[in-house]
Amino acid sequence: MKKRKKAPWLKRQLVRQPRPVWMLVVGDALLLGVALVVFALFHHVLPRHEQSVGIVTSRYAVREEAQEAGDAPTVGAQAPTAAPEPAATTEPAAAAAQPEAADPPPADDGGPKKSVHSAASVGWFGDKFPDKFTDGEVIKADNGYQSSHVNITLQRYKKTRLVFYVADIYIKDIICLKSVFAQDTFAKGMRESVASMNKRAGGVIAINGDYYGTRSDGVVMRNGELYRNDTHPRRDVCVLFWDGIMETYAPSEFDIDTVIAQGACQIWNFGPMLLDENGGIMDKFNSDVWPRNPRTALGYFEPGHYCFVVVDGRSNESDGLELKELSELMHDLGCVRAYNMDGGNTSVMVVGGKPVNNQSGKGRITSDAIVIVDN
Amino acid sequence: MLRKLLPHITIVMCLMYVVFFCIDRVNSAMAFIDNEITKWLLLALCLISIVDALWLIADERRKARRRQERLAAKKRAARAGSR
Repeated sequence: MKKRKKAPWLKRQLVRQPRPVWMLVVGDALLLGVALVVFALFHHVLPRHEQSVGIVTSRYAVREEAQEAGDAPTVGAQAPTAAPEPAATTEPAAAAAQPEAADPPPADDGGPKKSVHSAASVGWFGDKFPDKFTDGEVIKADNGYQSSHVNITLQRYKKTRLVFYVADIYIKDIICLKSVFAQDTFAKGMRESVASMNKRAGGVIAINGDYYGTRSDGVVMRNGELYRNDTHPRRDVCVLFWDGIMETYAPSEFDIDTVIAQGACQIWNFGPMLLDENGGIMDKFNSDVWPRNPRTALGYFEPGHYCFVVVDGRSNESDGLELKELSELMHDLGCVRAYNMDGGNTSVMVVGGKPVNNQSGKGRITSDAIVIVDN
Repeated sequence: MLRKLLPHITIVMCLMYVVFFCIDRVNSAMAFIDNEITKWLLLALCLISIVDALWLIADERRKARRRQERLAAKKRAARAGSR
């Protein structure tokens, strides 16, 4: 008699009827877990290279256009003339970040001189803050760094269940503030630690950027090159121009052609913006992530003068800040424009090769960093 | 075998979308819904759901037909018995 072939185990299990309900539920839950892990692998982990749009702006072009227009190169937004008084609640921070009385931006006469210095005077702040930079000497301290090109004062502030860090930054040249991609590659899902990016770029201090690599939309412009041109309908945009002015836009106000024509140098698309067009505190934000969280923010006082702010959160020591509280903090520091970068576990400030803040969780590697380089 | 697996795949994919929806409510910047993979998953879910539904409809029709045949056979038997 011919022996009947035995069906495979899985088939036997599937044919067996009826199965207990709990077994079906557990099986489906396990299958869901596996499916989510596979999704996360493709969505978050595996890098996918993207093609750059290839449009490049330069400070020289901005200079030429300014000369043609016969104006001083103040593109983008109005140059702030005075910063608001800081509130008493963040006095130490405000004291550290209080900008000095702003001189007008360096406007050279647009005459026939065509030396390198003249062409580079867009985004050159050496004459504006002469006392902030040394003659070549590098002075390193626990809470600061001073050289011929950058001046950084780092302060840690502790309040009741709140810890935050403010780096008050003066740069002599706009190229001292640069963006770095993870692995120096523009790709979705490409990630690296901010400390590593800072080290590779030779940076003095760095914060995480907008984590563009987790999304396939949103405008990405870094160091003058437009990599992606896809404005997200719900996310605010932050533009740093070659002349040092920083401006924030609601999605409906943003026009890529206009900002490129005006000499955009960096464009971040995460947000939301934290201060309104008058530098005032905002109540409503273009973001759902309003509760208390670790935060990273980029603040702007005047061309050449910026601040990095990182707020710790999700810990026993610090709860983090709501967006409105962050808006108040940036206002109290004296910023006239401020923009929220990626927060949560990503939120980090790095000095040299080490994070200075207490990263939430174990921290998170990210796709880009904003670095201050001394060159 | 596929016929038995398909309803579970549908349930799992629907639950994935519930997870994506919840995360998107909390943090839309993560782009769990607004990305290419999720769009293709949505297409796959639609196709699987259609196949699943067609199978279910076919099953129901077959069952109904059998029920009718059984009923007709009973009637015939009853008629034959009465004669």
